[in-house]
Amino acid sequence: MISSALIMLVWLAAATLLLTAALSPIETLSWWAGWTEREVENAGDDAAPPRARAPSVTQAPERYVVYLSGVASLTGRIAVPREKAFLKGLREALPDSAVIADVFPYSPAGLPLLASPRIFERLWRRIQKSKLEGRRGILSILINIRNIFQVMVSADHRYGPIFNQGAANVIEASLLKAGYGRGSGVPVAIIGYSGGAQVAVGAAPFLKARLGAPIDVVSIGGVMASDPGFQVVRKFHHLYGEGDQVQRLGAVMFPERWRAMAHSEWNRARRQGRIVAHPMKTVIHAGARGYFGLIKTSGVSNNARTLERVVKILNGSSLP
Amino acid sequence: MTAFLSDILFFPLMVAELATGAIAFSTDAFRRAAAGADAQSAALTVAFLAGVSEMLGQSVILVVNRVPLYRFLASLVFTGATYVITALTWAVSALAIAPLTPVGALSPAEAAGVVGVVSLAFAPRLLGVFSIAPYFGVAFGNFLEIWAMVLAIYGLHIAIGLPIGAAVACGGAGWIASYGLRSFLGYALAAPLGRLRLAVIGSSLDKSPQRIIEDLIQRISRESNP
Repeated sequence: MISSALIMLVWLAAATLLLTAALSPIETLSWWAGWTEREVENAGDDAAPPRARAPSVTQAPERYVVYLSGVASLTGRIAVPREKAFLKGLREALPDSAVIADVFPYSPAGLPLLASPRIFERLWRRIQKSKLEGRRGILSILINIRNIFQVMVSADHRYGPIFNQGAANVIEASLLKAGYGRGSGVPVAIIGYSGGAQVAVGAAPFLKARLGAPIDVVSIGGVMASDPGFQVVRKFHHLYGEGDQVQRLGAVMFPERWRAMAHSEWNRARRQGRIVAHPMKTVIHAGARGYFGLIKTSGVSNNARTLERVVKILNGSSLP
Repeated sequence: MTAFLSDILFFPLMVAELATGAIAFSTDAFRRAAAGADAQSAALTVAFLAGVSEMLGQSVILVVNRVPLYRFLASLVFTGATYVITALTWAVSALAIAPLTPVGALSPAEAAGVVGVVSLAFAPRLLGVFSIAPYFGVAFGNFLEIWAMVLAIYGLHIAIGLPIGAAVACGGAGWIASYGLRSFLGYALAAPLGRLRLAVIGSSLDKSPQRIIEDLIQRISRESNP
């Protein structure tokens, strides 16, 4: 009796997952077809490209850095204290750079999950509330599942070009609001945490064509496919924790990243030396022992370690 | 009232029953599709619905070509009809191959049975809508195609009584013929089919997502560097 109920439950979960997967490209497709134009307009400020924080520099920035959060994010505004601390450190360490950190990367229109008129807006708000209250219930997994499917949309050869074009529009709008001048050639670096790395690589060809500037990507525990964007990215730095099973799963579940697929974009970029791996000991994907963890081990937190690596990479990649 | 409802629901229920049975390799479902006219109509409906489902799964090509919604719906019906024709082609090819096997030519009653069995074998493709799923959807669509072919061979063996070798020959030949219809004849009839598609869908659907993106990047580059 119990076992049959369990089997039923497993089937139900599998069917729900399949259905969710099937529905996941709808947002991208309807956005591209223009079926949701009115909704995006009605969403007003929420749907508009997020406002970028003005760079703290008085002169024109030497470099623009865009941070794309992981799959747990609901909006473009970073709410997790660990990520906030990382970004604060990044701004302090790179005074000559403009750091933009309010792009929501898991929607082709940049429409945050809390924006009206999303169908599940109330559900997302409820999850957000419980997250802010420090309760991490099973519902918060829904955000991750929803955003993971958007990462797969970005990685898909059919939908990816559409989704990534939308993501590039949103990133570009943020860059322009932060004072970026098209055609100025000022380098742009995109830091993508977790699934944000896929969106960063996917958006790179459009950004490069539109801005006329070199695009570097720094992946922090990135989960990405062998995207055509790798042909365009100048350098792809992949920071990964040796205890990070999530990024490892990403390397397995996207077959074109396997070494056997010699002609894939990923492997071609690797052979050309444009992918640089940066292993980090004992770091896991998220949480207190994750890339942004604030607990100190041997006197230094993972947050500080990640920050140091990223700053070093960015200072190196901005050299001529 | 109950009788009225059961009259209305009789056919849809039969379609659902046959489809779920076929997906699970039910001997009974294929025998029914081979034997009765009602079941054969239900099997053809399965093929039609499989086409609709698969078109929904491949709707990306319609959407990237920015086809209006009403034409999008029309294309679903168009694809459903194409699937019925594909099923019939598959069945006719299987019948044409049968005399070359030890079984010999099939009788008209058996021929109708082959149509029913082959149409019912399209049942897994009712899940074709899930090929819309990102990244793994394409592989899932290929898996459904193989599943449908295996079912056709199984059905011909179980319900029509063809020896397994003859069932493989007939089923395989039918699959090749239907594939040929979609590719070679599709090429030969590209112009008239294109006109028909244009009339129904309002787009020649000549742009793949990659092509659209290449056009976009070219346009963006031109705008950025006039």
